[in-house]
Amino acid sequence: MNTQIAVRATLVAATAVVIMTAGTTPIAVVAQSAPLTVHDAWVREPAGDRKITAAFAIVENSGAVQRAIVSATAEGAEKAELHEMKMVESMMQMRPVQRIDVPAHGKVELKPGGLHVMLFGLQKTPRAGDTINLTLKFDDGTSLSIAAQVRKGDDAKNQESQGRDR
Amino acid sequence: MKLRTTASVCLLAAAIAGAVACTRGSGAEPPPFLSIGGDFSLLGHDGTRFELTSLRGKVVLVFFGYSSCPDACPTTLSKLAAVSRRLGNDRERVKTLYISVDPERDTPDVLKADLASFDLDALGLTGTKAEIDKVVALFGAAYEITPTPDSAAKYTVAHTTWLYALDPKGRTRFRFRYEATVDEIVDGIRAILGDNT
Repeated sequence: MNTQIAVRATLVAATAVVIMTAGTTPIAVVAQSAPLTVHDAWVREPAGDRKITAAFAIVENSGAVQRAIVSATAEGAEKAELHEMKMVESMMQMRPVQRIDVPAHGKVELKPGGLHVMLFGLQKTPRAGDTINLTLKFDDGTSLSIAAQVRKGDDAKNQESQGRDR
Repeated sequence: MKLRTTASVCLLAAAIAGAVACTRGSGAEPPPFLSIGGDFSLLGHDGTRFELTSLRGKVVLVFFGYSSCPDACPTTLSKLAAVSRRLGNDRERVKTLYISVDPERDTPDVLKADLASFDLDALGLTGTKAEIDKVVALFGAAYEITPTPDSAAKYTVAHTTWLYALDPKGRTRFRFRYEATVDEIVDGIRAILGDNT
């Protein structure tokens, strides 16, 4: 949780606020448009000069009604799409999805190997440390924008450190 | 005895059921011989013809993917870069082959650019669909291309994510799951390097 994300909340629905929880460290920054909250948004640094990559975030819903992400846009990308990656019998499958449900009083995690936002046609290859303004649009007409930090995929790093602990 | 049993079960599982995750114990049992793999020829990312036989004497890691793959392939490449770092001087005895199952998009130049950002001695391979299908079949791998006309991707590519480890004589000794850790892969490579059969 070394997240240090600058967030801009877009006022589309009733209320949009930015909450900064300055505890010890790290500083958690959250984009919220009640009852929806988006945080921990990040974009995987593309390998080489690839023009595509994936964005991830955690979306929480404190309300009593299920909501859904229905589309996305991203700064510097020609197109952003909702996709799902799924491992079925060692076969990694990817497919576009129409919506990503955010359960009532629950959350959905967009993460590597699962649901995510695909970014196509990147105008320039983002590098670790950059931020990309990511906007998620919901089925109630609201949207939230968050500055997603570009970082290297950390799967290998995690696995490596786990290995060292053995 | 326990190690022997583990090795036997792994071999049996790989040979009969096509099972995947045969992670070896830390004992001295040699890695099993899997009944998959074999020599092949494809086009390298340097634009020249590649023959697997040219890598005799090295441990060869093989996996299938494609350059537009947003997740599994870069994750595997990152993991293999970590494996390479962990191997220290032994890294010179290991070569990674990254075989594209999307030859329509993955020209040698695309693969070359794709691999450039990884600190890894890897060769990207492509070819005609028929050539690639032959290698896919050799290793018991699979892929599936599905048109997605409404998506900017145009089509999606599903593919198996196994990582194969071949010994210096070109024989397949391990087939690692996607979830295999750096340690498991390093252990497997070291087991192959230490085996003189």
